[in-house]
Amino acid sequence: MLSRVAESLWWMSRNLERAETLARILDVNYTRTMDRYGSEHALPHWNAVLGIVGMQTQLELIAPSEVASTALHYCTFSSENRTSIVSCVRIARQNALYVRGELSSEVWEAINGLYLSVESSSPRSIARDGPSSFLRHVRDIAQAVGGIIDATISHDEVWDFLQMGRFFERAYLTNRMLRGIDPSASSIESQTLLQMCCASEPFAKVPHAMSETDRVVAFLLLDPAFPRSVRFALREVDASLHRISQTAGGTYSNEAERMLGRLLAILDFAQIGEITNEGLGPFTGRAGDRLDAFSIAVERIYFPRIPVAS
Amino acid sequence: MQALLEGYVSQELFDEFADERGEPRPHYRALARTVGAISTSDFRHRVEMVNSVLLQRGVTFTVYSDARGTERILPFDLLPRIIPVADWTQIARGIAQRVRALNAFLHDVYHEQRILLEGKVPYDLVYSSAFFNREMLDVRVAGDVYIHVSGIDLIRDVSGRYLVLEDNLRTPSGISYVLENRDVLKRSFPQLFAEYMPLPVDDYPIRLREALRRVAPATTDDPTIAILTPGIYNSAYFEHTLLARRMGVELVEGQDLIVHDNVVYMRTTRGLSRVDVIYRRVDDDYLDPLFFRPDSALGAAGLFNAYRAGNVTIANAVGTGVADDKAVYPYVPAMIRFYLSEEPILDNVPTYDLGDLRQRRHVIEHLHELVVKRATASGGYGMLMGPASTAAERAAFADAIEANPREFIAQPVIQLSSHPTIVEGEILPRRVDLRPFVLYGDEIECPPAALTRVALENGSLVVNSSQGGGSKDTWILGE
Amino acid sequence: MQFTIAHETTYRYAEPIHESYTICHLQPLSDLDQYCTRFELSVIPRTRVFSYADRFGNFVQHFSVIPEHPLLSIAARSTVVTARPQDPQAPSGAPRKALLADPQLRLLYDFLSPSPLVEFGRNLRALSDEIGEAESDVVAWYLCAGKYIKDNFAYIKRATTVHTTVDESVRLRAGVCQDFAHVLIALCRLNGIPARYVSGYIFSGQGDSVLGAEASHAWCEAYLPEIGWFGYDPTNGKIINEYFVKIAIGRDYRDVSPVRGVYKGLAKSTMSVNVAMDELYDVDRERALARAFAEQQQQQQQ
Repeated sequence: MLSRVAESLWWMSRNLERAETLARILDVNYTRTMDRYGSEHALPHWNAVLGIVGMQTQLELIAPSEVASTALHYCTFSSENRTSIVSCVRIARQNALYVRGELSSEVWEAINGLYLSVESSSPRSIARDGPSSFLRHVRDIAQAVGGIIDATISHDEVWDFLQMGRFFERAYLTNRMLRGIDPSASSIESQTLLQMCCASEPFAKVPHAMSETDRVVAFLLLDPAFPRSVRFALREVDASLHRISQTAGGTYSNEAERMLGRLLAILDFAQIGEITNEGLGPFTGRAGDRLDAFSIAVERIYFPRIPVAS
Repeated sequence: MQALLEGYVSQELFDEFADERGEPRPHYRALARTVGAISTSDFRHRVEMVNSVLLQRGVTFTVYSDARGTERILPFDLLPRIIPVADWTQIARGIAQRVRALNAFLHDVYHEQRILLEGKVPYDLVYSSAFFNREMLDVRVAGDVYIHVSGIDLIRDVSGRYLVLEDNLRTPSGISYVLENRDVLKRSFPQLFAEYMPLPVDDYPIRLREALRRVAPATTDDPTIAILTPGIYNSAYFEHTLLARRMGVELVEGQDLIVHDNVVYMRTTRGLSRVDVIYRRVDDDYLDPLFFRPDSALGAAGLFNAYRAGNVTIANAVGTGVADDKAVYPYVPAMIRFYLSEEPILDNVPTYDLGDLRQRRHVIEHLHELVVKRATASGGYGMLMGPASTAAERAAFADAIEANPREFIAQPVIQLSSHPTIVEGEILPRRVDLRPFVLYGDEIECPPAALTRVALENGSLVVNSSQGGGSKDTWILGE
Repeated sequence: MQFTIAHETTYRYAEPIHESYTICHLQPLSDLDQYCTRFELSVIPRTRVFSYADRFGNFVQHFSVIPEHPLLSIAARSTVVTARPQDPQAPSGAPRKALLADPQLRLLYDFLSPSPLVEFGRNLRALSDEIGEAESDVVAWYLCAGKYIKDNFAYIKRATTVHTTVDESVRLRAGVCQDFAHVLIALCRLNGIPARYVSGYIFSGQGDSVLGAEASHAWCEAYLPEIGWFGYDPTNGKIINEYFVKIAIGRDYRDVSPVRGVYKGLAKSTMSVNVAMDELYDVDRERALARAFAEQQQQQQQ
């Protein structure tokens, strides 16, 4: 496959996943800051959200009453912010346009539809109606695109690059969310986190053998079956990576596979006690560094800026 | 209720469908019967259906004069143009002869220049052509083939005689419409095909691929072919993706190519992968910033040297434009005589030489009854249609011609033949031309794939898609 | 005479660049008047060098460097023997009709027409009027036009760039060898005399000081009746002699620029060029002379 095509698929997929996750996080955070407990903590809450998606803005300088709307606008409509919902959708759509020939028309139409609806929403209409319906719309369509991709694109190299982008971004963002969590966090805090990962219902089925926070962390980090856990998502990335290079699972043929294999081994055999002893912050921090290194390795192998000439 | 086509009245010119008495010509009789049996409402319903299918499929082109780069569908007319076997035989022989002579001309002007030395074509005419590519002098191309794909535009005069209007030897487009039109018509209107067995067009992409394989560098038995597109904003991008899919080859942009040690590669997820043949839909000027436009990112640096070394075949060859320069066009019959020692099978449209003072005077005095074209323009841009022009337009052209006669040619207005065409629910005569495509790998072949373009405005003689033309499925009948 | 020439061109980039492509016109020509006996091109970073003969008969080298590199250095070393006279005489004159009678003339379209860097502007036409008509003697006119440039134009470095047009340097009445060559070529073509650009070297060790010796040099060749291509250096006001070495010919500088290329990367480059030209002391020839002298002495003694 052409490197340009693979790169566009990777970024299209990552940006769609990011838009979806961001829409969910914003929705959960917006609703929780509406009640009494939440509104007192609006500033730290919004700062935490900005931290998850790696955005930086000076919320402290803003009047408390303006914090929510400023943060929301920054994360939703800001064009300067390369990771706002609007920016993510634009990037995804632009990349989809570059590889239109590789996508089914259903996928293209869904992405283009999302783009058109996001472009036509105005900050004013959201200020009037509240952000929830807009955020849910983005979340639903972005999520639907994932399903349309699975159902209408041959599960070959094109699909594997899309799959890799989607699950890498998911693992990356879940890990980011866990990194911001306070070990002594209240149960409300953990519940919010679960909601942001749409994990409340699956989590309810997990046996109650540990402390609440430990259980949430273990679930979101290590659960082998929950599709938003870091471990599960990275398993999917690993599978696609091996199909692309046609290498047997458990072995590696390039640096990306080796890095990911090592990280997965840690997650596969980690116990939650070890992680909390070490500290969740340092653990997820190291995992985040490994993920950064992994994405650089993927780019270097599959779409290098400077090719290796024989 | 009057049956469709029964009230069809042709104009004072050659009509493809009706003869002088207004009766359908023999090869249209079965079509007239089929169409006659269909109710008007059913017919309208099918027209709508076809248009929605085309839009859905994204058979679109971009119109440059539209600042937003709008995508439109090329209007498709349901009534097919039918070419009987005798006509096609003559056309195929004529265009093959022409392409053979034009190819010989290109080889000659870039090597021995015999035709220039013998004075059959003026030396200055070739050297002053904007498309004469000096870098191609003394460069050998695989199999000495320059014109791998060409589209020869034919029209018919009032007597029904086929004439060559222009040769398109650079990157002629339109084949995607030929393929899509046939497919759409078969699906939406199968009855029309009753009693007709038009020769298939579907194998064109495979024939093109095979022709390109045969001109690959000798270094490989299994050449990798790629189509080079300027990208998603190009007006013919749809055609590029369609051909890549049907040919089963990679569609690349300039940024996907890299040249190293005089060899061309694509950047792929498995590293660099060698490319042997490039079917380029990018103009000469943009192919290599080292030799041509230095600001171009549509090609690849080093491409021309790899080409010069014979490590890659570029189709069409670089520099073919000198042979379809409109000022060189009048000399094509002389080329046929010079290189092939044959008489031209298809005639040219008479053309005035504006470098000649007497002819230039005549043209400027008779602009209102002539067509003036820019020598280096195509697609119907930059032309003066005398009878439909204003005095101000004529004055502007007269000044431009005096300032730079080499830039223009003038021809009498040829009354293109007409063909029944659906216009707002009615069937009316509209002017058509014909663009058959010619392939040249190791031999010249004329696949039965031709585009009929139709001027949808009443009386209009300009059929170009960029100027509001539409297209028809074109049926070439076999023996 | 015999010369060794070392021509080094180095590009340094503020940050590493990649995918660089370079085309060089650095190999001296071999023709009736000079012979290039040795040519080597070495490139840092190391890469394969390819070559071809272009349509003018020049030898062109080219190469690519794909990985990142902060520096590109191209060193050309050549040895050339020149066989022109030391002090060539001005050829006898010929009227324009002799030129018009030449059957080759119509094949020289490219050397009679404007080219990318040689255009016919208002200033050029005015200069041509100053110099006068070429009708009666095109040879004398050519030498006179060349001398006129030498006498009326100032040799000033950095007054112009490689992109300066002929009309601009005529307006400035200043420039370097490349500009002077372009002006003379333009004057010739404007007056219907075919003219072409020559890039090369001029040897400075010939006693009187010459201009243009510290880097590559350029001059003009005009096509004259019954003579053919005839070189004149408007920078030094000289007919081309044994101290000149030709590298390449073309329509103008753009056809034969010594080194040109493209690369990927945003960094700006700085270029340095160093040309060293030396007269080669021919050991074998001196030995042979010494032996002959010794034998002569011996014979005299006997």
